[in-house]
Amino acid sequence: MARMLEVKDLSVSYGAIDALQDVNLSVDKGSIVAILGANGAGKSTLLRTISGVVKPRRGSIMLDGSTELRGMYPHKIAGMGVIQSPEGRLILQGLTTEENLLVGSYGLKSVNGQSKASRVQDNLDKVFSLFPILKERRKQQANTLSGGEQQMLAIGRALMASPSVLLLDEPSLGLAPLIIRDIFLIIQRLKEAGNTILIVEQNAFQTLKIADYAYVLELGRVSMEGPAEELIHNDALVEAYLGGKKA
Amino acid sequence: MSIQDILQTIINSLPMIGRYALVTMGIVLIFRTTATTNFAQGLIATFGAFVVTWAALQWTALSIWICLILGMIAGFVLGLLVDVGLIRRARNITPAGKQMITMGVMMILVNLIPKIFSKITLNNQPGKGISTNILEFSLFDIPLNITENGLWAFALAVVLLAAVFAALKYTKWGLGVRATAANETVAQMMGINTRLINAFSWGLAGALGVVGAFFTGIGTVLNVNLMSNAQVFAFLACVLGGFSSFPAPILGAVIIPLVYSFAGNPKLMGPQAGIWQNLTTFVVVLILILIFPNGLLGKKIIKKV
Amino acid sequence: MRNTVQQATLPKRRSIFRHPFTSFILLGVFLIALQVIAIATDGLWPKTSVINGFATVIIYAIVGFGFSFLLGYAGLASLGTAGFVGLGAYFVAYFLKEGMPGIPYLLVMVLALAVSLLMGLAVGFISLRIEGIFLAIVTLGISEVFYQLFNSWMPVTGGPNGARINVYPIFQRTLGMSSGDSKRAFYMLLVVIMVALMMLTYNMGKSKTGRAMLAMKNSSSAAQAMGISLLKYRLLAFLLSTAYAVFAGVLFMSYNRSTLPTNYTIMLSLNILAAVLIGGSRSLLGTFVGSFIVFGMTPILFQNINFLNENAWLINVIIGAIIILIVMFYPGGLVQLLVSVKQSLSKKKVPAAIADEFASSAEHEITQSAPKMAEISQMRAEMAKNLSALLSKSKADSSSGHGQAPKDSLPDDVILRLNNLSMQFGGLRAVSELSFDVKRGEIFGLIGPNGAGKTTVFNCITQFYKSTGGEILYRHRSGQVLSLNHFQVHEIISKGIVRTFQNVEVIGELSILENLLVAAHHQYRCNLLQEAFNTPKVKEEEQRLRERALQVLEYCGLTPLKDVPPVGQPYGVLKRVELARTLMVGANLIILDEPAAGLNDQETLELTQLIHDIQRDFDVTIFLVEHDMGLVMNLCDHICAISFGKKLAYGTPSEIQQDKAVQEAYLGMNDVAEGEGV
Repeated sequence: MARMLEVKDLSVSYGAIDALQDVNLSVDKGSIVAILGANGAGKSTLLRTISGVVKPRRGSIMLDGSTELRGMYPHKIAGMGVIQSPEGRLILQGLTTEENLLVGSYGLKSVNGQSKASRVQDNLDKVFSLFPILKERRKQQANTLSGGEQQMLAIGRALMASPSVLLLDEPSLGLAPLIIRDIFLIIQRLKEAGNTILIVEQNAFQTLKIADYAYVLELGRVSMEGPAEELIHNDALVEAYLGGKKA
Repeated sequence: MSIQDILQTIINSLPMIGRYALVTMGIVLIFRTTATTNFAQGLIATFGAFVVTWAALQWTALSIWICLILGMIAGFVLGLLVDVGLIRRARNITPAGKQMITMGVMMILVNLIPKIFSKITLNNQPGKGISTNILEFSLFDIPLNITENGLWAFALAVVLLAAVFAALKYTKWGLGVRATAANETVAQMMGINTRLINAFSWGLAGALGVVGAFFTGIGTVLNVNLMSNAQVFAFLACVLGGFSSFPAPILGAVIIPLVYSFAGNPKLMGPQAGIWQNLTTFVVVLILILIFPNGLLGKKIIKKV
Repeated sequence: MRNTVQQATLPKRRSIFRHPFTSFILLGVFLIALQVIAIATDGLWPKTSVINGFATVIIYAIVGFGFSFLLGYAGLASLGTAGFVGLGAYFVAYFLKEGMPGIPYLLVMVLALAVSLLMGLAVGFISLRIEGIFLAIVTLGISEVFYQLFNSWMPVTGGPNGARINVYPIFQRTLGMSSGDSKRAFYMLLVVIMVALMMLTYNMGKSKTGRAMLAMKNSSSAAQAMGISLLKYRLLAFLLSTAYAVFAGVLFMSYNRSTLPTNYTIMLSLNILAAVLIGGSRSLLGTFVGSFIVFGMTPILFQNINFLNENAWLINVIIGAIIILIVMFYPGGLVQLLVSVKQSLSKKKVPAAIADEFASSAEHEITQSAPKMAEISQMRAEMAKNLSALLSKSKADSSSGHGQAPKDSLPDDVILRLNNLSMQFGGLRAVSELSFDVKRGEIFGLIGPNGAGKTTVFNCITQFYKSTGGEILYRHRSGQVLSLNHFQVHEIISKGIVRTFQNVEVIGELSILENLLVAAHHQYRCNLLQEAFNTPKVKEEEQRLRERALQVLEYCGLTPLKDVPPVGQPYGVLKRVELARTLMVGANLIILDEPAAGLNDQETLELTQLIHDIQRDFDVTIFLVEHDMGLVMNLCDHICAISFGKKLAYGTPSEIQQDKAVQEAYLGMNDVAEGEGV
């Protein structure tokens, strides 16, 4: 199976703190890979490094077996189709819902005879059909949307770029359980539509239900990995989250 | 003061509003995209104004508008250079540090400009520069007047600023600028080349400032301190209007010239009005800022610990 | 490398001269010698212009010293300096001019200083309403107001033509010396004043005041938690810098006897900024050198170089370029440059002992170091006896009266009670009706998934946020019950409550020992004047608190690092520094915000031991907020679990571990049991 994203020996430090140490992971095309772990485990750092916002000390990030992402400017990485929906959603203030979406498609180019404008429109239609509430609120200032709607907007914004790899950073953060359920359903649909997704989450069980493969990060290292169906029955996972093995 | 006096005082402030709005727009563009308060804005603008004059004297056949465009290009390039050549290259720069670099640029320019362009004054020949004739008109049967160059200043400023705001709202570039201003990191992650956007903002700010400086210099001797008042007032306009959006500081750029105009009116302020004009304006503006510490249109943000 | 201890030294003048006062005095001697030689050679060398040049350098250096309080210590931006210098100058011009009654010079100076204090207060208050960049712009506006005043108010200031006085104060006016002699004498006076000010400024910078300002600059949150009132110290910074500026203006006018308004424009403010920056914003000698470069090179060095004489503009361009280069590459100014040159020349090596102790701790297996830790714990129990006694002398002061609640609102064994605590941010309910008790002397844990509101609860208790509903009751050591919402952030520590921060807030510009001294800030009794003169009382107080800090450092195993700044130390060390800070004041309740965040297994273990030892050895209650389940389950006597700002469960660690609601909140809904499958 094609490896869409391959991370090798990735190490990241913030000054004296080692945020990530020798992380190895891979994401197959068309699959959902989950990164789980408690807060401070380094999950967000991982995504930020892939997106080029944080520079790693060591390691490589290979896209589609051919392009080394490490060292590229963030906007160039986005141009390669690696798009993130960031932790905390980070909706752009001062812009409307629709404008936020259009920012997502900023880097789109015309392809195979289809003009850029037409691609943008296509993607916009797709996003609106996926998230009808966003269409309803398209002219509203984005920061007036509810938490759940903003999360949809963040994901929609990422989808506007026709991503080859979708990075989702804690999409369930701060959302009510029912909304989380909806969001996860949509993520599953996205996978079924052929998207490659790397999702970072604290919410282990729900994520494992829709993922194909998962890695567990603890203090910057991969402590566990395996097919999602196996991990979901693994007692060690519960312990890792709620203590027990330590000391 | 009669209605005529009031209206005339307001009309008198229009040219200044136009000029200050341009300089203020430049400062806002730079501040919101790169978080830098540009202390060299006035001097970059002055540099451009000198280029305009030099071009007009050098190539007398050239229309003054072409010369203005040349000056705008000079201001654009200088602004760009400050960003790309200096600020971008600094190690571990803090916002305060960026501020101080612009102060250093200010010191260099204030000494360098008179040397490069020794002995230039903006000559005013009919059919050459912009005329300083006084135009008379009436509004609601009240006779009023405005200088021709003053009218040009205001009108051109309105046109330019309208164009900039339209571009901000409707063009892809504008979207990129607003996204960068909202959150530079997220903008980068969405594929926006923020370095390019920032550099262009510096350039555009320079160009806009040049127009303001040009009109300030008409009918006077061009000197290096041309825009020193404008620099301070533009900053105050930003604080007064509030930094929370792009149009807010323009409100400040409207209010300050109005205050200035009324402060200089002998019928309102007495025979010594002209001498105290600057002082009065500063005091009033500072008081307003104290009353509205977040700006007239600004909102207070609760800081999260 | 994470565990390499970096022995970066602070730019201490101690490494160049033995005691800074020596260098100040030497400088003074040099400057006076110049004048003496000039008298001896009857003005041949150094020329009068050179002496005048040095006088200018001295005067602006004085402005710079005051400015460095603002910039270097408090980290505040102000561009109003020029206006205040002018204020001092015009004060003298007005009161000493021809035709004015003979007001004593000293009185004029006192008046000027009084006005400067008022102005400083005004600007200080303004600084509370307006932050950072906006403050700089407003101070710029204020300076412009002064300039306009000087320029326009002809009857008082002489307007654009400037002002003159005819006689030199003191020497000519009072003592009747000749004009020339007076000028020379005044120059000597300038030197003496400058050296004296350098010493006083140095003392103030090294005292608790200087440390408090640095704390404020490096981390306003930590500063407040340690009892430093931001209002007070900002005002103080502005007061001092304004006073110095006005004083310098007085001296300027007294020496030069004439001035123009154009001297007091933004260019002067920028030049002062440049001078301070060039030297290094906290270095007094550096400021003098900076002042020399900016103000003195032209009159002193370049007088005879005709090319530069005619091209004065070139010098200013060069100064501007120097500012830019320094900000770009050496933000610490000349001092930083000197230090880095020194370090590369001497190639200092990290003392092996320290490196070993800290580097190897990460590689030890857990089982291997268990006996070592038990040893340390034992040593601590011993140390604690002494330390406890020291600390009991410094127990938090009893409450004055306000904020008290009825004594019986808390049972005897409860030290902290949250009663329906709620916190709302606009439309967001971060905490909802949260209630729990913390028992005296226990270790209590607050847990919850990311975004549950733990830090918000924390901040509400310590008054960084004012809760929008409910109350927080606390039993003070004296037995009084206090309602914490009645107090401000910086008052909390004096009630016996100390806290640490999730994102380690240490003061980077102070050594680790000094970081601890800041923690005891509110227990210092001496005032600024005493600090300026370094009275015996100040020395005694400082000594006493240093002793205490050394003992605390020993207890926490940080002694080898006491003189090193915290910057660049491993995270485990920084967490220990924060913990050490909490021990400095004999607190009643210690609140720890995610103490184990970012630590590896070994470090977490050591930290757990330390927290355990602290509870055992000192009469404290420990409240911690944590994610690391291992730490919490091992340490805590009771735990409260929250989610979405609401209480989920309360109980002992094992009860919590088995609680279904808690498991769900952490792992998400486990629908697998229902047979849904993947």
